[in-house]
Amino acid sequence: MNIVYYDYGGSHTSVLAGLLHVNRLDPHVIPGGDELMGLSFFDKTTDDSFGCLHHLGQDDQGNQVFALGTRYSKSGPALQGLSELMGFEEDVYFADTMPQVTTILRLGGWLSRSARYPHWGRPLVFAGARDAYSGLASLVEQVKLHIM
Amino acid sequence: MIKIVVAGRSASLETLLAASALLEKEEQTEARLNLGNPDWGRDGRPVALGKDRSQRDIYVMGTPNYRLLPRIKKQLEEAVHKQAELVVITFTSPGENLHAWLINRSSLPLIGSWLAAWAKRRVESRREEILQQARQWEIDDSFRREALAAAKPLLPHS
Repeated sequence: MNIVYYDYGGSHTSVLAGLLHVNRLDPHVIPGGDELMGLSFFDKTTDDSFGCLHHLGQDDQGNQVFALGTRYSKSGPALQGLSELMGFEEDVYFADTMPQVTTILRLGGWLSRSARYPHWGRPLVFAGARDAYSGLASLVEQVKLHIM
Repeated sequence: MIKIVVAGRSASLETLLAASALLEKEEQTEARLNLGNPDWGRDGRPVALGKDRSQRDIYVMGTPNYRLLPRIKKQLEEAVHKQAELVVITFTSPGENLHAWLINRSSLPLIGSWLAAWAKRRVESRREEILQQARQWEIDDSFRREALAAAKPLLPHS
């Protein structure tokens, strides 16, 4: 099974959720700014990254975990539909991290990635990631239960 | 069974018209009855339209990020290590964002139905151009032929 966490940019909540899923982040310890910036793909994606699956690792069950930026915040039905047409419904599980995206994270992400002002955007991204962290940890737990 | 999905900005406007050009004649009219129907494929899921002359299933889907779908399809195939029997055609048309904006406001009181009808009228005014564009598509389903060739049993040497 392949687990794909997706959001608009594929650079913040989807990456955090994926790394929580593969146990590279502790769900009980919120990472600081330096630790966040040390994570693969976190706040590093470019326009060319949209639509690319970023491999984040393998979980305890042997599932491959990915992050995906879809450039649209309501991509769920399209992704699911595409996967079904491809005959991959048993092979791919999509998890939407957009509900965990806070206004601060949205603004910070836009400043850092779209407007290309990372110096202004990153403090907001760190604050937004802190706010979203426990929700993402819960989402990952739900996904793990669902795919068992 | 091979499938073809025509993806564009809105499943009920230009993209539907273009996708309908691929269908068997008798199925074209039925598909086009939904032209301008704001609920048609609104959530972004692919909608089945019918079959083409080669008995391939034709679908239409509308989503703002439709240009990414071929890349997402390829990435999923690489992740799963399987090739899907699916061809994704993206259809871009002038004014598509305006038309999608208009049709998405069809539920507004008083002016909603007028906005949707305006979007439909604008698309219908370009009907022949859109159909012509769609008829020129060369659908590459060579992977299908490759798969069949690979599956053919080898004959023993006589």
